Order: sequence, then C-alpha cells, then structure tokens
Amino acid sequence: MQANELKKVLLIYAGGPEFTAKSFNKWVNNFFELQMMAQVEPYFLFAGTGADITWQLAQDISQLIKTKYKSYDGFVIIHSLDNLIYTSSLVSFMIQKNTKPVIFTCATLPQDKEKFKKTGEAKNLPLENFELLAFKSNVISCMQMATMDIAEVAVAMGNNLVRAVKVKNNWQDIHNYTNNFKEDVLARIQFGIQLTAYARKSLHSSPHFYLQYDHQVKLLECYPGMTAEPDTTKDHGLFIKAYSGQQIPSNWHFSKDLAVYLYSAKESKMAWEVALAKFVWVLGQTKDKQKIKKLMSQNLAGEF
Amino acid sequence: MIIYLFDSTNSKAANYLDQGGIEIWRKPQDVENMEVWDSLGRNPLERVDAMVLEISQITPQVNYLLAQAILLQKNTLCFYKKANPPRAFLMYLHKKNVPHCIQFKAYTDKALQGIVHNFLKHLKPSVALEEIPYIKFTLRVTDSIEKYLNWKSKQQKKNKADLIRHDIEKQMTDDEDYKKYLQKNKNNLTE
Repeated sequence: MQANELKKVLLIYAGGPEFTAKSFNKWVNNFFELQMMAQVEPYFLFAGTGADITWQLAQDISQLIKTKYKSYDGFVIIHSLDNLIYTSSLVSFMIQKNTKPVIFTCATLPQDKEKFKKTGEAKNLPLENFELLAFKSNVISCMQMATMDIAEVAVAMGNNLVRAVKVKNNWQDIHNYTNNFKEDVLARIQFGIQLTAYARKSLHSSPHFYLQYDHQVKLLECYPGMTAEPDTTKDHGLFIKAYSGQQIPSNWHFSKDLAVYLYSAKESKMAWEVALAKFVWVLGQTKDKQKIKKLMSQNLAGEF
Repeated sequence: MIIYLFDSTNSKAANYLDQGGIEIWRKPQDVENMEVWDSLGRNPLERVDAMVLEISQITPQVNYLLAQAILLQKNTLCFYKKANPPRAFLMYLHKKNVPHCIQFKAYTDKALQGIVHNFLKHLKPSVALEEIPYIKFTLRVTDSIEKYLNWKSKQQKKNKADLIRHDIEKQMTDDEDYKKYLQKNKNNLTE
C-alpha cells in the first residue's frame, strides 16, 4: 500500500519512565513494522510512573484527542498497567458517540517466561527478548485495530480487545482482563484481527466531548464493625463500596450537599473502578442530585 | 514443521504444502493449543516455523501478517500473480531493506508448485516432496504408437504424457535389478 493510502493514527505515549520524548519518537520512527500498518505519528504525553497517574491524565488524553480528532483515523494510547482501568473508563465517559477507534494498551505486559516454557510452545520463541517481543507485537496489533471500523474506547490486553467500561481487574489472570462475558469482547487477535458482532461501528456523525470531572470524591469501603463516620467536609462526592446496602452503619449522617453513591458488588453490572470513574465524571457535569442519579443509571458508554 | 498459510485467492498452494509431514495452520481452529496462547496473551504465529502469504491484493490483513512475520523473523514466502504484481508495495518494501528471511516470488499456475517446493526445501532439505516433472528430452514415436496412445488416453481419461510416465514409474517399481543398483550406489556414498 502506498503511504498516502494508509490510515493516520496518533500514537500517544502515557506509559511510564521507559521512554523520553526523544527516545519515543526515535523508537516509533524506526519501528518499520509499525509504519507498514499506518501513517503513525508519535505524541509523548506523560512519563510519570503508574503511581503518579491521576484523573487529570484522562482529561489530558481526551483533550488531545478532541484537538486532533479530524486529523486522524484512530488513536492508540500506551499506558501504564497501573490505573489503566481508571483512565480508560474516564476517557470513555469524556468521549461519547465516538466514531473512531481509541485503543488503550499497556507499556509493560506482565510476561511469565517460565510458565510459557512449561507449555512446550516456546520452541521457536526468542526467549531472550520475550517481553520486548510481546510488547512490539501487541503495539502492531493495536495499530491494526486503530485502522478498523471500531467506534469504541477499548483496551487491548493479551489476545482480546475489550470495551474499556467492561474491563475488570482480574489479577490472577492478567490476560483475561474482562468479566468473561462474550459480548464484552470486541475483537480477538488470533493470527489476524477478528472483530466480533459486538464491536460498534461508526454510526454517529460526530462525537461529543464532555471533559469536565470532579476529583473531590472520597472512596470508602465498608466492612463489618466500622463505625467511624468519614470526614467528607472537603468532598463533593462519597463513593461507598459495599457488598450490599445493608453494610452501611445506620447512625451515619451525611451533608445534604454531598452526593453519595452506593456501589453494590452484589447488584452492579459495572466493575467498581468503572463506576467510580463514572461518578467522578458525573460530578463534573452536575451537582444536582436528581441529575446525578439519572446519569449514573443511564447507559452512556456501553457500561451496562 | 508448522506453516501458516494466508491465501484469499484459494490457489493450489495449500495442496502443494500438504505433504512431507507439514502441518498447515490457516485459522485458529487449526491450532492445537489455542487456549494456551490465549491464556498467555501471545500470538500463535510465534509458534509457526514459516509463513506463506498470497499478496497479489494488498489488504490490511496482508500488511498485518507481513509486519508480524518481519517482527518475529519468520521464514516467509510472499507469492503474487505474475500478471498482477503489487508493484508499489514491493518497491516500498525494497526501499526498507526487509530481512532476507522474507522472500517475494511472482507465480503462474504452472510454476507455483516449483516455487512452493523450493521454499520447503530451503526450510527443511530432508522434506519428502512429490516430484515435479520437467521437460527432459523429445521422444519421436511411430504412427501406430501414437494411435495406441490416443486410444488409451481416451479410455483412461489421462493425457498421453501421464500415461507414459505412469508406465515407466511402474517399471521402475518392479525392476529388481534397478533397485539393487540404487542400493549399491547409496552404500558407496555412505562408506
């Protein structure tokens, strides 16, 4: 294919201290296999560690995408594994009626070399470059997906592409980073990329960007015997994580201005991290409790 | 030996590969331990010994597979129809100094078997391949022989050249003196 026939993809680096701006640009420009897939333009956004990531990164990514939206056919974001679920979820709410692929992937995939060797499938694998090979192969796959008709904010992990708001932390099996419902998997990487019937195609004429959020939200996890009422004087929202509503002590009283969201693991269809990101976003849109309640129950980004 | 084949034109490449202990993968269902690859988040292309790609039509799928082949440094045969080469794509790759493990060959239907067999021999010299007939010499025949061959060809629905080759191959199989001669030559080489 001629260079001008290839789609244009913005490759955003928000992945940690492995790269500097200069080394990232050089790496992308020398990555020939990547250049075969698309006209790739690198953009170095964030080099902090995973622990340094805040909600602000999601807004920065969304703002960048908003600015560049008309110039590119797709977007790939290399992000630290830490906090990936929070950033990608918040971006999902910030970019609604999306018409182009926005694909998140990890800078460093955890790779168990010994486990792989035991499977007997390692015969032709250059094990000395085990992790690097996996990373490069993954980025090539993401680049391919960023040129396809996928109108989603999604996370590419292992051999699956999953809608970002359907990702669930599963630390026992990092490559099954889903809640195991088949309709959450938008594409599979098996030789080539196969889209499933659940991947949304571009139907809308243009996306809507809602970039505001409110980080003044306290997270509280309920457990038996907790009695101390949390100090929420500086917060606009309280996110309570409980198995069910019956875990909240009956003697707690909250300020009437405080928006309180009870996440019930028993009943919710969202992972709590996704629900938290949604709550942070909703509070950025409105402080009206009725509107908050309505937005939290609406299916805004395919999270239900 | 495992070979991944991508061929959207359904040429006879699959038939020519299907021999000599070669396992062909074309789709995920062909992979014996696909669940292992899925659980580890790795592409099963890492396991194959070589790749064979039909690239007459350059699609995103072809681009992707070739990119993976280059990354994984797999011995790869990229074949394309001689009548319709992807010129711009080949020129682009040529400028980029693609690694030597990636071969590009133009093919016709007649030449495809030879191209595939040469590639397989390059990968594994010991692979047992079906022999390909080539023109060796001109045979003059009498009118009566020609008449017989025409009749036999219609009876058995084979072309005349195939009839003659088949008869000679049968003679070779039944010729005990020839077999002893071959064995003697083989022993001399190994001493």
